[in-house]
Amino acid sequence: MALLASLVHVNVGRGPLGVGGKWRVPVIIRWLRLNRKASTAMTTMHTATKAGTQTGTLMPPADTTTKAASPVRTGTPKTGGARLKASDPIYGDILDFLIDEAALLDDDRHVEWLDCLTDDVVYKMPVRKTVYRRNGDGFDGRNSHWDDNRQSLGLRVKRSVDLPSAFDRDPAPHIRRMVTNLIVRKTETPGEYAAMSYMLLLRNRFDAPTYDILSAKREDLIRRGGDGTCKLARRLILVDQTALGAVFINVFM
Amino acid sequence: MTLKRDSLAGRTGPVLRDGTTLRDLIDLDRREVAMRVLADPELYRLELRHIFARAWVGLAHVSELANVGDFVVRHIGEDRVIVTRTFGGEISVLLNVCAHRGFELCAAEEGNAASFKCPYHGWAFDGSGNLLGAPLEKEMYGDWDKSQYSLRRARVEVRAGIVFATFDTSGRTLDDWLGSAGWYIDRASNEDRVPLGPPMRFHVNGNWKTFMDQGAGDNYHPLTLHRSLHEVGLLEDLPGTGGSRSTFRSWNHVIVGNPEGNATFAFPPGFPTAVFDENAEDFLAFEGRLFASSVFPQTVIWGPYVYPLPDGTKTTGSALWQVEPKGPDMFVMFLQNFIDPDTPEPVREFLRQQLSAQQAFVADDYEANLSLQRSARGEVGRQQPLRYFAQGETTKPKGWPGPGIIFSPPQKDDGQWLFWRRWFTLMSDGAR
Repeated sequence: MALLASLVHVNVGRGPLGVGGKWRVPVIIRWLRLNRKASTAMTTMHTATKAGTQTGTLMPPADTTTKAASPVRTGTPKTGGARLKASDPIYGDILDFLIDEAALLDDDRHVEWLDCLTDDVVYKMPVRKTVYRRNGDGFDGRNSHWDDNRQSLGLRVKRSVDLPSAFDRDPAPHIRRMVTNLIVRKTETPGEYAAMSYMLLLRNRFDAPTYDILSAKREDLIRRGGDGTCKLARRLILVDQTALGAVFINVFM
Repeated sequence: MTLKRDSLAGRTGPVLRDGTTLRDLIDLDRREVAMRVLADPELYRLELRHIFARAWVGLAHVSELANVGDFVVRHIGEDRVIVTRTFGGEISVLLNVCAHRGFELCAAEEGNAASFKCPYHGWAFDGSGNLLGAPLEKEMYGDWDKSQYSLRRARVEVRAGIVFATFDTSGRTLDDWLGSAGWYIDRASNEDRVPLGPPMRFHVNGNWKTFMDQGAGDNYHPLTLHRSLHEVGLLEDLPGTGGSRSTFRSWNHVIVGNPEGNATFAFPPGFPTAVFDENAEDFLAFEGRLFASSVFPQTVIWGPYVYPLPDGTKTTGSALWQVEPKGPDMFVMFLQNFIDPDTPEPVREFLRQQLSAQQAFVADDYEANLSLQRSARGEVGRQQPLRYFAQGETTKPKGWPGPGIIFSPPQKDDGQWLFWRRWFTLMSDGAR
């Protein structure tokens, strides 16, 4: 661990760096150790993915001896479920749902969008930190840009469409949401599916020549009724930025 | 007002490349400042030198540095600093720049490190900034005096659990910098609380002064800019008043200004959800108030939030905000909350949801930041003055125990003008 740490240039909990001799440790040994560590980590991640825990994102940090990041909890149940092929009709239902949902938001039909949510919906965008690899991917569920339920989302929607003094919403911003890379897995609960998708959101305001950009991975739990109707029960939005590039308050993902 | 309004009149301040002096941009008699000061890159560089490099900045809470080697990376102006706990148990603040060739020592924003080793050539430093050694140092440097190559250290003081630091070398103390705000910060924050979570951060299109100037006493804007709070039903009309006027009144802050450019909003008990009764006897009472102190130029400290628990007891919290400048047109908003350590997890969950929902309406303020930058782009727009001519009386409420220049409702522009005077003072101090 100390050697690995020295390669990432901050020593971990071993007292002051003994500068003389340690520099003479053959580089090849360092790399061997590094590679072994890395390959172990990758195997663990791969196994976890196969077992259906979504991605490495949800795993606790490998090194708990350092200041541990609080792992993000999705509320998405451990699945163990198989991945659905893109040709599966259920995959198609869920893809249609996600596309329609994005269109409702893009078209400023926010009230209808609320109908896409279950009453017990959990909607979160955890903050992210820049941390060394050994401390995980930086997501920390103890603070969230969004930490919402059906009621608070309703409040945000009301602000977005009804209020004359919501100045960030009027004139309406020009927003486009691209939904891609959908992976659907079964869960232990019949009718519930874990859906992972990528989202790229572009927002333009006034006469600006440029766009505010937000890209994220979304880990959703979708509830699908017998008639194929889908609703969103959980959404975890994992953004690709630590300090968001613009004010994205009240911009639904 | 005990201030002598003309004490700054003889100063010209820095001269800009086009011959304009800073004094040309601020009218001390009319209490106006030209919008150019929000958007001029030359002025911005001068601010980094004369203000931020000399300012005391609240960077972290001591609980983030509980163990030896714990570190966070924060900002003083645009300078990144390592805030860490040394082997001696003290907190040190170091410029995150290698004393050898300038590479950043910490790339992560938090972690634990026994020492900081530069990835470039390998110079290594301890948590106090002392050079420990370097690769092949005998061959490279022979018998060298390592004490010559320490990291750049900031002066550090801990106040009410908040780690403050400055690169100022004049000897000015934190107490001098805070002025009367220190008294309120002592009541807002304490060293026993722990982080509710890590900071939330996002970039805002705007000038840092627009945000901080509003925090220095603008009790006028909620009436209009935050009208949506009222429209959505989160704030109720006072009986018999109706409409936006009651929004203004129901937000009865006492505002405490000081010549150091800091201001404390003392919100009524129950803020922001409780309807405030202006006819109540304790209308301006001190007890139970929530203090929000804007510390010039970059820090805001909130507290104590008081949260009643189901069992009848209470838990309390506080917040540290930072406005990190990123050029004349941008800053990063940094928001972090702290709570009593024994706060039960369900209450923490609830608070996280509250803070998230709060942002839905704070969004209004960022509209002002954006809009003023748009206004200041044009040649005529940047000549346009921002006006602070509404003057009021200082009126200390009966029984108010705190220090400072106290403005009871309805407040005028006096607190904000103290902010701009402080800004002009520091900018012109540097040019003398």
